[in-house]
Parts: sequence; C-alpha cells; structure tokens
Amino acid sequence: MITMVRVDNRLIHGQVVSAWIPHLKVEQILVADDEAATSTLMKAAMVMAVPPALDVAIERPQDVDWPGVARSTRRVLVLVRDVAGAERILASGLAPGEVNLGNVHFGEGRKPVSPSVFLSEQELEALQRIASRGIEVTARAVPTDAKVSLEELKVRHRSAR
Amino acid sequence: MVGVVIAAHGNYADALVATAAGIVGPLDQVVAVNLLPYEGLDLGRQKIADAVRSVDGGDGVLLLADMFGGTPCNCCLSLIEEGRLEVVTGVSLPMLLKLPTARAEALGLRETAQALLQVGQKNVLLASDLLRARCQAARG
Repeated sequence: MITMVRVDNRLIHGQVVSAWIPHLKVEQILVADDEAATSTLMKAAMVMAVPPALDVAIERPQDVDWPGVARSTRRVLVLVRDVAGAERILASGLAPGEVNLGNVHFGEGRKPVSPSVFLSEQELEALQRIASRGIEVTARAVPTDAKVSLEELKVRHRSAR
Repeated sequence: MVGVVIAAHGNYADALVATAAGIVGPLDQVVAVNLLPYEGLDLGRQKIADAVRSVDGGDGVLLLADMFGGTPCNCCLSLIEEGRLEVVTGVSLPMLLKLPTARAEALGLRETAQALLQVGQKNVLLASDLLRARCQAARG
C-alpha cells in the first residue's frame, strides 16, 4: 500500500529519513523522478543515506508498475519532485490517502504558502483536481508540524505577495 | 592551498565560519553555503558548485557537510566527479579550528580531509563520564 505521496524537491533527505520513515513505518521508498533515476551519483548518494533494512527504488515514473505498487503488501512512501510529478503519477488511477506537500521551492510565478512551500496558480488548480478525487492534500514538512489544509493554502495563496 | 566549502542546513554554515574566525582568525579560501528550507536540490547543487569554483586554487576542494544523508551532503556528493573534491560529513567547530594547522603543514586534499575527520570524531565524547572517571581516580 502507498502510505503517502510526498512532494519534495529534495527527494530523499534528512526530514524523510529521520522523521517520515519512522512515523509512517515505511518499508519501501519509491522515488519517481526522471532526473534522479538517470543520475548515477545522485542515485547512489540517496540510497546510501537510507537505513540498509529499507528498500529504495529510484525510477523514472513511466517505468513504475503503479497498480503493482498500490497492491504491494509493504508500506511504500512515494516521493516526487513537484506538483506536476504528483499529478502525473496519480493520473494512472492511483488513490493514496494523502498527498503531502513537503518542500516545493521558490520559482517563477510561485507564491509562499508555508516556510518551505511555494505554489503557482496552476499548481493550486492541480492540487484541487487531486483533492476532488477524495485524496487529502496537506502541507507539512515533518510529522510534528500541524497539517495545513488545501483550503488554508488557498487562503494563504490569495493573500501572499 | 586546499579550498574549503561548508554546506549546511539553515544558517549553520555561516555561523560556524564566523565562530571559527572569531577563534583562529579569518579563514582564507573558505566559503559557507547555507541551504534554506525553500531551496531544492538543483539550487543547492548550483550554490555549492559556484562556491567550489570560488575557492579552488588548484589544490582541490574539501567539502564539509553538516549531516550524512541530508540535502547539503547529497548535493556535495553529486559533484564529486566535477573536480578534485572530497566530502566529509558532520562538520563541527573543532574541525574548522584544525584547518589553519592542516594548512600550515601544507597537507594535501586527502590528508586534510583525513585530519579533519579525525579531529571531528575525537571530539565527540560523553565528557561527563570522562570527568567522573578522573574524579574517582583522584579520590583513589
């Protein structure tokens, strides 16, 4: 089963390894990212950072057997780099309980909605499409942060400069 | 002279360099790279690569990251084929304080990396236990 889909432009890093993995009792990490999947060095560095007992897969999204991942008996944490990446993998019919916005860095057209999340109008719309399928969309860097709902993110986005 | 780049979360790198300079004096060819919460892998890589170029005087560059497995470390590791680089993690004040001596001894890149690693490891102690043992020995 997919415990969570996390949008994190840092992919595997400290917050994921020291906070989310124990919190969600993750048994497998699946990074769905074209760039990481094709960079040998980045791939090796990330795999090295994860406790050896944990299974790590870093694949191009189109190479992943998504129905198989959804049916897996293991607890899988899926990591994607950006909102577009999340929408792309969810288009395959995947229905995780939660899409978590962890780190979405500043970029052209993006406005801040939390210390580590910046969103564009288009990304908010994409998140709304995801939420309308009954998937919970929240922003939270680490499990001890309070969950910020999509509604609250929209309010913040409207008032952000 | 071996160049040094310190890459860490938040403002840790800046604070570390400023604190070390306050103790051993200004550190030449040392640059701090702060990776902020809203900065991703690509920007991290770019900032570190720019810093490497700015301190590389031809003798290689030692990258000191705050935490094995953290983004600053991942970014440093992804650069290792782009020059004469070594990466040491768990950067600390004692390691930076060792740097002027390592340079005075004209240590090469790998030797500097090893010297700093050793100092860093030697300085992680349960110091209160050491003190108790000493006190006990003194009391006979």
